[in-house]
Amino acid sequence: MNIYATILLLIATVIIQTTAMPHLTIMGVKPDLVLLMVISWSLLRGAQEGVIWALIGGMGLDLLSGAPFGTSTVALVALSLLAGMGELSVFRTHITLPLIATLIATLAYDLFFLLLLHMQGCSIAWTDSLNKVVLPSTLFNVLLAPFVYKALYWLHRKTGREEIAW
Amino acid sequence: MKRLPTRSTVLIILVLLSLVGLTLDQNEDLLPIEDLALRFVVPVQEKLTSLASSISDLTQATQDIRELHRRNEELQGLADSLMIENVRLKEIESENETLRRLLGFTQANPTHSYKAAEVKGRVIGRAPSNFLSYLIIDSGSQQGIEKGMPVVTERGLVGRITDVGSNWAKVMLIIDPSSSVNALIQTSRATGVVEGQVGGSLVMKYIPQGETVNVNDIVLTSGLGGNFPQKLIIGQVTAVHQRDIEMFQQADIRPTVDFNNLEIVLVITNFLPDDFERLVP
Repeated sequence: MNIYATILLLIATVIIQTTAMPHLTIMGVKPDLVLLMVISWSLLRGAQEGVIWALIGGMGLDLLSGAPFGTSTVALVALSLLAGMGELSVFRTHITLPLIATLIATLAYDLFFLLLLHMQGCSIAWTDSLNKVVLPSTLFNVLLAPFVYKALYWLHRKTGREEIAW
Repeated sequence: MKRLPTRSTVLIILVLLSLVGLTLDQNEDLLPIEDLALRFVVPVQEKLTSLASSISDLTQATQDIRELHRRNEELQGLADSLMIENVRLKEIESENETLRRLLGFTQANPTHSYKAAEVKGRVIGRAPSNFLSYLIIDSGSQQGIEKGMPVVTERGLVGRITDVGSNWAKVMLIIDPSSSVNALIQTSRATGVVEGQVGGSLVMKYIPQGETVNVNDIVLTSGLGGNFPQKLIIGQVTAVHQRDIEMFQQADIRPTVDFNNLEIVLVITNFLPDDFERLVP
């Protein structure tokens, strides 16, 4: 997929994440659209393209987040590398793969954030954080995963694999 | 003898017949003929009149439909513009109400100077993560905003400025897990530190044992540490956790500010946090 189209798509997603998503909360949590897209694309196209999506999406999130710059980028790049291994799986076209990948990725992403806050000296109420944020957001993301995966699968079929070049 | 033209003959005959008819009509001798003729003509005339009337009605109906359609479009346009105007006026009314409340707050707290800043909630608004609580407002260094300035509404303390751009600034809300505010209980004057929690709640920690803390007590900023001005409302105590084996008491706080529905906030521009690092040799 063309790099400029990729940048535009991810910037639009980041803007939606920071404007529309706060109004679409369930149980006080909002879905992580960028995470869902990076994981889905990594599964469909492999780590090479997934990492580029993770870099662009992560930097967008870091710009608008209050967390230290690079937090989301590092987490997303690591997860896209892991998810990229799923590209080789024979179950790639099966719906369970994005569900399982999203489940693991969301848990890892959220725990990474909690650890980071803990390392910054914030006192973390672990049980409350798990019950009130991590588990609801994981459930929310898993529920949305098939739709995002389906949409990106369509994009994957439409665009075809090509070298990402500047 | 020269033969008259056929047309003239017919004309003469018709004139003569008319004269005869006039004479007979005067004496009402034509009635039977008239009756006979009209007996056949009237039903046809009725049908024709009815048909003509129907066609006329149809034409009129078509015209009426066109007129109604045009009128409907006009009214729809008017309704649309009125609805837009209504929405705009409601928004202005709502903003006016908010500004009025903020003005009341600034008049009640005249020691600080304030800079009104609108939260860009619908443009670049809020932190993307579920763990962090930030806002982005549409005022920055060009409007005199500096890092560390407190942000409030008429309902109480919102947070403080953490990053400043030329026309934007990031506000760390007091419910962010990284936020801590020195506070006191209004009635007992017991001091502590209010910290944000993951999930958006507040906890007041480090309240000395022996201090009286009750549910519904109001929590204010204490001003200790120089990070925030004194006497800004933070929230209300909803639960107290006191154990004899622990060094401090702890209280759950419900913030007075509704962080999900912030539209306009005030930045206190004449207050800057004390920079203790300068004092360290």
